[in-house]
Amino acid sequence: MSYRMSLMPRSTQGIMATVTLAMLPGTWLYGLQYGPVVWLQVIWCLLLALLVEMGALYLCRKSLARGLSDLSWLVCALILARALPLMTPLWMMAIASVVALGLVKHANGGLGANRLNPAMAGLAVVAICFYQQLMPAPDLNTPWTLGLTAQEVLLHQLQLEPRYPVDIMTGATPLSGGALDEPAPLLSWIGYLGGGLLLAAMRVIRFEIPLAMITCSVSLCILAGHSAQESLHSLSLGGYVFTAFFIATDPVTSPDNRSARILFGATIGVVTELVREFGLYADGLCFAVLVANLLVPDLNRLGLRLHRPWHQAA
Amino acid sequence: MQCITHAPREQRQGFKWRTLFNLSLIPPKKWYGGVRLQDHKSLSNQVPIRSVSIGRMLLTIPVEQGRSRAAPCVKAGEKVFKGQVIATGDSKNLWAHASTSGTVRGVVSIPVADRDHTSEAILLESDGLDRWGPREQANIPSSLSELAEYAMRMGLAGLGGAGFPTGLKLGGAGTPDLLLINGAECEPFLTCDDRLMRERAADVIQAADYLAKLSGVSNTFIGVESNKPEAIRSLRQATAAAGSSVKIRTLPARYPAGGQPMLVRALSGRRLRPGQLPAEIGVQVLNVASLYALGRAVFHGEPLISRVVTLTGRCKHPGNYEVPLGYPVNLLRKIAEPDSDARDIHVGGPMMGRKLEEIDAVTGKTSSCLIFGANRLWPAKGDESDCIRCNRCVDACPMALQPMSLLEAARSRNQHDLKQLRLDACIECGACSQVCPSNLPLRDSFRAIKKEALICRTG
Repeated sequence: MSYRMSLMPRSTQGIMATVTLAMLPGTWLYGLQYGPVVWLQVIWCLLLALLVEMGALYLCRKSLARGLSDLSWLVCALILARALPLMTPLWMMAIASVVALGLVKHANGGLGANRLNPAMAGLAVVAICFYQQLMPAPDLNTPWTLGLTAQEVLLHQLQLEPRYPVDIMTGATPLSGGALDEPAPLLSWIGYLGGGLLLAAMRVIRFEIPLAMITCSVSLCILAGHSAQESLHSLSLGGYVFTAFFIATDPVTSPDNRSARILFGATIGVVTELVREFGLYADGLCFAVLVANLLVPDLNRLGLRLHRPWHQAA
Repeated sequence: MQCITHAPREQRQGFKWRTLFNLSLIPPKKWYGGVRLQDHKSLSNQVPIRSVSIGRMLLTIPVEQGRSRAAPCVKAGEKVFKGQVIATGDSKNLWAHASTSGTVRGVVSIPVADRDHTSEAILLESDGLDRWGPREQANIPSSLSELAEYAMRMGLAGLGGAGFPTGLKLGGAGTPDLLLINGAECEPFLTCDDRLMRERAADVIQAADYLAKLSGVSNTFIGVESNKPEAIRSLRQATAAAGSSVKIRTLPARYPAGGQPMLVRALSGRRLRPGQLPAEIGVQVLNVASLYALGRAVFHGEPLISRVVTLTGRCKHPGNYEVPLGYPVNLLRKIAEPDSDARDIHVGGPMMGRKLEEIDAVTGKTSSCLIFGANRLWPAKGDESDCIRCNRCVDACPMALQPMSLLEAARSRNQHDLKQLRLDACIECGACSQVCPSNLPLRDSFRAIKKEALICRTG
């Protein structure tokens, strides 16, 4: 029997493959924007994810072919590659991969059993433990990584070269630096937005999560005293669109009913904005997602109370 | 109780400000969930209902129907006419009748297509003459209790799928004010009700009018899915011709539109809560084929000895056939002439039915459809993988349950969670298994755990 929703992928592999494909245009634009470091990071993350997944499957005594064929490691690797700051050393990527796939996913019982988003947990561990050693994000107006050759990047990633001098970098985000006037050259977020909308149209992801997230962030930003234009522009920074469409919408770690999903998106939006406004970190997306992940069971219960089945009397 | 059964359709109350903020404001007559299935009805609904030939052959007529069990009252060697009582029931058990004329050869046990267990049955060697015996006087019952008793004596059972005795249903209906006739036929391969409504609409309407008058209901609705425009047209014509007040309503072509709660909601706007009987909300629900059989019994004195069976799938002669009860499936296969590679038979619809394992099975009152070569038409599901909580099953569940959480609870046998998540509300329609991208056996596990719970309670 087949049901008539031709755009909807029918299998778990199909879903994962669609998500991967939808991520590619954004990743490609991201690569154009910041140079070969993006591609090297993607390749490293893919390799590490594959290794960690295979190791974890072996340790859990699960079938290697079946475990790898669901392609969830591929999605996780691509998300991790985009979420980790550029110029991250290889060993940090390895730690992030082990935390993401090994600890969060497989130690919790495999695909579908984790409460935290694996990639975000991996990123959080790196971001918290090795805060000083991370390179500040190359911002839109000074994409300093663009000038580096693949060889230089590789040497840096393998830490065979001393750290770059700090004065290359601009520490602050454009929002607080006031560099909003010049339009940035290539905007990877447009690619991610396109991919995300495609996924929403194919009903692979739930549109209410990014929508609630964006609405909350923007309105909070306006409440905090920024102009509407500034608030909207803040959405294009720091992988916000990517997080909204590809990370927050992870079905495993998001709630099970619509009202709860709206609250879930709102939580992420609010926490992100609070961290951006008052926090120590330049971007709080990762922490916001983890906070919301932890709230999921409660949101689920709350959502079920708001939602009444059609066959129950009003 | 009285005030509930006589409650008029939910009336629109005065505007309340609260409704503006009510997130779960649901329009009347609407239900959520379900899946839109690929239609395969045109395979078998192109030709009129044909009858199968009864030559000199062996029929095995089951005398059991669900929990009802009749006591055989004929001896081996006895000659019987078509329609003659061969097993007597009582107020709880359906009577059984000979499907054709011939000689009784004994009592055997036989698997019935579409049923779990083998059934006690009477072996009948037909004489090929198909002669009716003296029919019952056409004394039309004039009260509902009389009709209920008559229906038991005529062996009438629900032909939609559950096979619940029509007599018990009529007897336990209380005082309904709405009569709802289920002509949805939402299973994608079945066309037996479709053809029946197209060809015998007048009889259906006559029976509906009769039953409506007898039970004193104010409104009768026949719900037909929108993918059967010919049936709807023919029913409307018959209604106009008979000057009847029966109303034909189009249902959304969304599986399971024919499920009882969904049908009641779509036709009357009333809400049938899980565990509630239709009688409690003042409605009487009957399948269209059962209603037709009731009409035949009342106006023509014919007991239920045959039913329309859809033969479809990969075969040379798909279509609908009027098949006497106890007809061997093997002979039906010969009639349909399945393709050489279509060896397997699926009985019932693809959603609710099952694979037929026993090749010596016979047709019973609920065997609605035989699909040949099913494993080519809908390939078996792949290996199951882990649930990624994609929520498709939640969206598809017509009863607004959480199938994925239910599966988790069913696997860990967590009775408390199963109760909390309302396993009892599950109507086992299989929409969740259908949409699951991980091929999880959702419906099958719910069925198994329900059966287990039932055994625990009774045993």
